[in-house]
Amino acid sequence: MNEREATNYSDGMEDFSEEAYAAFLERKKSLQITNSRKRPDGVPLIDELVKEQKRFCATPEGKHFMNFIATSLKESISSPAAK
Amino acid sequence: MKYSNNIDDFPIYTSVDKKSIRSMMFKIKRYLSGFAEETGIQGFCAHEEVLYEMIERIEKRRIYFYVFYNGTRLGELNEGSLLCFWILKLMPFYHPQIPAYIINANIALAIFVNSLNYYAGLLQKKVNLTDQAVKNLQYAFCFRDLSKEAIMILAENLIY
Repeated sequence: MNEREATNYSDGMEDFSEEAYAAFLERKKSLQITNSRKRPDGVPLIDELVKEQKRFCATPEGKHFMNFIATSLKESISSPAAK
Repeated sequence: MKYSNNIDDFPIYTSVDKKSIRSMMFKIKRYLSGFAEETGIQGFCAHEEVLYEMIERIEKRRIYFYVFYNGTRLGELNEGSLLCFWILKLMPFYHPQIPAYIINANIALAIFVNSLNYYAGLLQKKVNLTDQAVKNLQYAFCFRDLSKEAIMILAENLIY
């Protein structure tokens, strides 16, 4: 890296000063306080996914699928004693 | 519906209320408990701040869809696809003995398949997913670059 690039790099780093970071945190905090918008849609998808998970896992296809997932995960467990 | 290409006509995005986000985070944890139960593997955890970030980003995309696709709703299949994308990207789930990318890819895969089945059920359609396709998806979720749109179009084309 030449001197000019090094200087530019140093200049760029000034954006990450403690004051800038404190201002960022303050801005984030103020955003969290104003989060009052309601979701526009009805039931969140995750509610339905929790139900669908139960329904699917009770079917032969679901059991087969979860068995595939479980086997993959168990094969990746790092400690043989935990298998 | 109001149409505009003037920046002054657009409001500033505000986050969804905390209560709704907490409720969705709680549901994600319930999903994780179900996942642990069905796989017979205990000890999964979720990073709360990352879950919060994921939910926020999905809500932002909901607004993006409405504004840039002429009032279109995000829809369940796209929402499920986005959830998969952010799980793969931000890896909110962890386990002391399993590499993070494997856990997150497999949870994303389970959510993806659940989303497909749920959406197909709504439309009284079927899901075209063979064992080989599941293996391919698992590999792709671990190692390939999949954009939000790629996962969305993949999901759409697995329903017939």
